[in-house]
Amino acid sequence: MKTILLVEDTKVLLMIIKKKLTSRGYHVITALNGNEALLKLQAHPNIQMVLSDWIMPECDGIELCQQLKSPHYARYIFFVLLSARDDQDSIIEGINAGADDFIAKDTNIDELDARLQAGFRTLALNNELVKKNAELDSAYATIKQDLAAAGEFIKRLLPNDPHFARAELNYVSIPSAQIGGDMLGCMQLDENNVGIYLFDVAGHGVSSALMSFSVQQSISVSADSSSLVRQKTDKAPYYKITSPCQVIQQLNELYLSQEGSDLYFTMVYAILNTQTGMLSYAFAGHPPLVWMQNSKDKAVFVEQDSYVVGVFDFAEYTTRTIELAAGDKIWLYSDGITEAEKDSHQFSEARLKELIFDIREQPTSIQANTVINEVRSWQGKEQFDDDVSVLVFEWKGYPEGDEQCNTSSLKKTNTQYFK
Amino acid sequence: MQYELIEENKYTVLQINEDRFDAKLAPSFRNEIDLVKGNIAEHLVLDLGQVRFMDSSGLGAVMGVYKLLRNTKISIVNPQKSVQELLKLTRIDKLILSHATIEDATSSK
Repeated sequence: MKTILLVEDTKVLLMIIKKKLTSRGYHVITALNGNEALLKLQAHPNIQMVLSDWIMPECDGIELCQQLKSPHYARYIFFVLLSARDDQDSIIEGINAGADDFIAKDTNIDELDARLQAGFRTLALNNELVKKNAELDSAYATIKQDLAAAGEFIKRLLPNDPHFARAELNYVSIPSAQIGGDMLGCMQLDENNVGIYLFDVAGHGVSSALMSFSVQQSISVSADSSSLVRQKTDKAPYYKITSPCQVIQQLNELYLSQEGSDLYFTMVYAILNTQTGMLSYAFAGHPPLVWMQNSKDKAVFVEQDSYVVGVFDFAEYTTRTIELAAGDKIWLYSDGITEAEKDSHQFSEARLKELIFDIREQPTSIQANTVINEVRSWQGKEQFDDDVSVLVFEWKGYPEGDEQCNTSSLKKTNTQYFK
Repeated sequence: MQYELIEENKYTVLQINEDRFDAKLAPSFRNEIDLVKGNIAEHLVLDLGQVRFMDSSGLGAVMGVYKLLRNTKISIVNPQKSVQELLKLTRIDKLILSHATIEDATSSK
């Protein structure tokens, strides 16, 4: 039943109007002034329609209206002011106080009823909106909570305090939202070989993050079973390390996109032989890596034009090899770093290479952070627009006393590689 | 998306009049391609002369068109340096040839 709060200080009038309204099926609650009206509203939380006189002792109609329409009053009230006909001044004052409608006291019941029905329609619309908003708010809160949990989970997939013999590694990876499409990692493939990779799924929403998570699972290596990066064999040593181009080739086959999906990723996959400093790598549409040659005091790009992963079934990839000198560092990054913008200028690969050269004396263990902070101060803001990842690793050189013998055997391998 | 569509007998030119071909633009680009794909005669020419920056989503949209219009010849016209570099890095320049002008693109075999 539709409930109305009727506020009127003249008892006779109150009884007359109440009777009229009751005859039309309304449930009428009454009050003799504004203060009493406020108490009645408190006692009946379902009342949203108030029909109130204008001049009353204690708290008058305008004051009551102002209170009910103030942002501090938690309930949405449809407020109808009862006035004398042609009382223009009080109508203007009423509009300013926030009243929704006006009815002359001598209005016949048909018109009064029609106006009240219109008011209840507005209330119904408003209540529906409020309900929908509350549903949206709660759905949004749930999604936000889920994303935060997913973000934490993905963070845990990043290498945890990576330590390798004769190689040191440092990285930073920051999603632009709660979760992102960048991922990086490193793993001991066998005693002498470390696999290192960085990939960047296009876009940075939930679908990118899910793909990134899935790719990470595909690459991960477990001790006793076959995986993409290290396969089991029948003969000693009972495993074979997959070459970088084969790793990417297999990922391309695994993640070939379906019609209508534009999800893909770019990647660098590299294997460092920590005994010899030989680094074999393959690219998939990824920006160049930077080779800081501390031995020669210069920084150079290492690049390879190649198809991205997950789009073309005909894509083929190539493994190349370079020989690091002791103390050389290799930098991998995602385009979020080089595409950081200031006044529609990009940070750029050239600037990144310069920066890497400028900080060459720093210990590896803090360098990824240095780069991130330098780019932050360059762009003049903390937050990045895209996911950003930076990974640096240093080859520390030959094991002590082994240098001579390793170098000579290396030379041979080297010539073979470049033939 | 700000663009111009020129439909000729033998070719269709889609001129992207936007500074950035990025994640924000890619969906409307895809929609536009969906609308016109039935009317493209033999050759789709993408005029990217205005595009100063293309990100990975923009590249994804271009690769998507290449896959969608498998039997249609596609050319790119007048790409700026950064776009050209991205196309080369990802070898798209091998699949979709670039030309300096629309005339060059439509007269080449």
